[in-house]
Amino acid sequence: MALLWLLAVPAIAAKKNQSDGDDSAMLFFLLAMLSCLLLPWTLAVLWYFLFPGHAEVAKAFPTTIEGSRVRLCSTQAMQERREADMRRLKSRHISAGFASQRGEFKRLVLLVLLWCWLLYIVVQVRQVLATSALYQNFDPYAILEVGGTSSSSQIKKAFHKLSLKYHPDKNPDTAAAEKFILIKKAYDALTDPVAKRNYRLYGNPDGPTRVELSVALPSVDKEKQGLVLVLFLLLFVIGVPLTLLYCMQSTSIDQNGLPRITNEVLQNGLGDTMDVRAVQELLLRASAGETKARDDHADLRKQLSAAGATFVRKRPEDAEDEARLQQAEALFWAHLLRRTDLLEIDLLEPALMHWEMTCKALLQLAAKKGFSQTLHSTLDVFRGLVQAIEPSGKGAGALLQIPHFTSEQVRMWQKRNKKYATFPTFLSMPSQERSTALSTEELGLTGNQRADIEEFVACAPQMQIQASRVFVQGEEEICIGDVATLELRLLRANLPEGEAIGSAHTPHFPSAQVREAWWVTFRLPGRGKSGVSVCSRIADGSREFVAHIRFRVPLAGKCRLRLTLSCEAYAGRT
Amino acid sequence: MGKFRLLDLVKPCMCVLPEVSTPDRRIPFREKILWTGISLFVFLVCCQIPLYGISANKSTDPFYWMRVILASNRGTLMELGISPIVTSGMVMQLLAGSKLLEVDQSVKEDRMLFQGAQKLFGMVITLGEAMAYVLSGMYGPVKDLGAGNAILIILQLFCAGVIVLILDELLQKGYGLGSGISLFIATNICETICWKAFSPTTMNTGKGPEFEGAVIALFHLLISRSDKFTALKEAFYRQTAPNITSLFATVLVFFFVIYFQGFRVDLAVKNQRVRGQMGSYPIKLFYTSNIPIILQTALVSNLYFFSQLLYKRFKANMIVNMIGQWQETEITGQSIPVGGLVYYISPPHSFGEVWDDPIHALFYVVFILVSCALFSKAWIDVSGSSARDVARQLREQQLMMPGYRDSDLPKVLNRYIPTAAAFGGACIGALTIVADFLGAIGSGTGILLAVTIIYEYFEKICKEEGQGAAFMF
Repeated sequence: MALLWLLAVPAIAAKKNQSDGDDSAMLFFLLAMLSCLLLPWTLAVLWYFLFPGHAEVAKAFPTTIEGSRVRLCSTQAMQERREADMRRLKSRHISAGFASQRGEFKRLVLLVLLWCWLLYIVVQVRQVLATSALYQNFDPYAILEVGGTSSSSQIKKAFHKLSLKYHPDKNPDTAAAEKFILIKKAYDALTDPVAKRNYRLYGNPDGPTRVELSVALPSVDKEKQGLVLVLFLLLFVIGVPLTLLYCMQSTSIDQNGLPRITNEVLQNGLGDTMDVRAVQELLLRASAGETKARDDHADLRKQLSAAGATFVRKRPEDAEDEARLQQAEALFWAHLLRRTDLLEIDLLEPALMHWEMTCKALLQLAAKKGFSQTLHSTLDVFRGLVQAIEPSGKGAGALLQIPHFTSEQVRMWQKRNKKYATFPTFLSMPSQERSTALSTEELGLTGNQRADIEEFVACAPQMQIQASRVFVQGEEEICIGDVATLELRLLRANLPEGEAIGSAHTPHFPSAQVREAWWVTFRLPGRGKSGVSVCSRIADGSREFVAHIRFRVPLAGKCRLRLTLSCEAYAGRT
Repeated sequence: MGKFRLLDLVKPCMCVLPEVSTPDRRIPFREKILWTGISLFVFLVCCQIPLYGISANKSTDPFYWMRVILASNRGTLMELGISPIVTSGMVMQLLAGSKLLEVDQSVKEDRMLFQGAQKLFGMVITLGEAMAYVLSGMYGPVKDLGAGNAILIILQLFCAGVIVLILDELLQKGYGLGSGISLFIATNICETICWKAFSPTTMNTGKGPEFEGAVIALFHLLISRSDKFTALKEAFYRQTAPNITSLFATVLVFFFVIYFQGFRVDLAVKNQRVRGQMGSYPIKLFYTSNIPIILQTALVSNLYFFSQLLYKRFKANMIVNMIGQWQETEITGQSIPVGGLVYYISPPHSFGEVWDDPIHALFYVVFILVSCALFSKAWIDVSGSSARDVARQLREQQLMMPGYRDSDLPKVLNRYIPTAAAFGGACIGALTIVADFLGAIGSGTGILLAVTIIYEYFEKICKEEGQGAAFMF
């Protein structure tokens, strides 16, 4: 019964206006239920309006990790990005659960309507309380017109006074006779021991009366009962299955947040030894179907192609698919070549976020299958995406990651400073020397921009492997088939003591929440030429930490492992 | 085959047994939730549909104490609840454990046959129970019902029983989360608690109408009574219906049980075949879960039943009097124990009673704690979770403890398991006493069951979502 009742509440609510008057119990029930629902809801809404997105921002940009302060790269571009991110998080949270502003509005209207209904019920309840005899309790003190703390002699006196007035012998009125019975009952309830006990226990001096049970439902006319039944039937037979069907249909998104079709393309297209170009093509093919093509972007593609873009070799047969792929390619290359000024459409941000997700899924897949070459190519593409540089390492390359460096400046820099012409050497350059080199007029950097570069250098990772060892947990020696553990002690040399790294410096990427994670890969020798690769992701942001990687020992004898440690967020850091 | 086996008798029946086919792919999390929801919906609908053809029954409910545990609703299709599944599962486990039924769980065909046998047995039990219910006059004398109606009732109960069996199988084969049994039990208890808190039923005892639901009653009393303080007092402490105090007690017990759920000892184990593969074998404080309290309740209710029966027949017999003396209360006409052993193992109802007869209260507490601990210890031997059995299981999985020889495994486990079982049983008992004394809604046993089940679900959902998250980083 309980469940039916809970489900029935809305149905009753709809019909409430027809019934009137005698359903006072129903009113109380609705009042209680509505207040239980509305109070927390209103409080929650108020909370969101006062502190929008508080928890989300704290989660996306934590201030401390395990007690160490998080260092966020505070170049101008990144700060703006972060603020935009926070604004987006906050605005998104106001409409909690609803994607659009309209949903938010609907929710507020519903809330206000419910409040109005509650007020209406309160008014009705007040009326009922004022008129209904049901709620005027039997109060012996009030009937005898004495105070609640009167002594027994006072009660006796009052009783005598009233009985003189209302006794049937003195007063022939029938109403008076009824009143006298009530007075006698009240007097008994206060003096007679049995009646007193009964009154205390059951609220009635006559002892327990028969308990009347009823349900706080509005009374429905005989003719309307059929209608109510039909409504119920409709709700259960049609409403519930339809809702279930609706839920069933919207499960085309897989657990990693990607559409199932995209995952299938990724699964099928994944190969052991894919180069960067193959990964790019797979990525574009997998997610080209996301948005509708608006234009064929022929000019744009021509320009990009001249700047070094390579397009997918295996074209789809369908014209529609072809158009979508062309649009995706245009977006992709405009971003990588930093020629977003050529774009006339504003589809880049969602596309980038989607590619990032797809890339991560691809990384996970490659790591699971142990395809280390594919993994590295995917990593190249991923870095290219978040840093807006060409993945294949062509063009100005990794130095473009430095803030305010365009290909012009990179060329200039490489010409003047031959010794520090690569990204790692740029980072490890003595700071005195670097600042003098940067302040040459040819580069045309202002003071603020130079400060940004210094800030970037302080945040850009300089990962060092302190120590590494291989052992088998709980055993003395290592044998074939054991699960060995590789322990890596890593240090971020760029950070001072007590700090941890936050999200990476990604001024060209729409989100400021790209984590600075690392991938460790190494190849285990097998019999003959065979062998397996082990790939593992390390996402610890601390300054100094230990990573454990477990693998099966394949062969007997001594063996050296070549470790490759590559950063997910920055190119040129391996 | 050579040797004749009991299990092979099931073979011819396998083709007619209804079966849920095993899923051919991994069911995504959302779909699992959906299937779980659907089965729950079917179950709840069955709980509300009254049986056709029964005459109105006013007699007291002899199975009241079991209803919560067996998720059954009186007079509806779910009259039998999950008792057929539970019974068949337990009996088959016992048969397999005592080697009366030879099953090789490592052979796929044997496993299938075993499951088939369990299902068949469950259906037979459903039929048997349905017949017993009808013939024993639960729905009025068979003469009044007539043969046609009697058969109809049996058929209804049987069909409902088969539906529950299939729903359970559906959930267990990987379409849903957890097992049907625990899902239905937990739902039943949560439904009771919600109903007691928000029930719109009113009763009129002469003081004016009063709501049964505790929260609704609080609002109603506060608004309608002129004296707000007494109204509040009544809403919190009324004895005739659920009050706010018992609601709070329920919440309190909920949190207590959840807190204690996490208590466990993790024993490090390592794989013998794959060296370096370490893991842990957790031994929970609630090692036997809520079994001890279920067994204890069963014992006490049987004792009550027989004592009451005997006392009605032989009031003068001294031994009968020593077992229990009964008296009917003024208002409800319920029999309550007033003397003898039964009185001492019945819970005191209020602080006043504890004050009047402290020996009774003390005896009751000691009895519950000791009996729960003993039942718990006994259960681990029966159910195959004793130290020796666990050691055997570990050995079969090629697991051993670092620093100990293989033969020492039972000894090491023996250090923890019996202690955990006995102490955990006593804790469960203590929790039940506290819950019942505070008047927690849905009885202490019920809350314990519900919390353990909901906690299991919580862990499962966390794991499922964790898998999704791991894939996404």
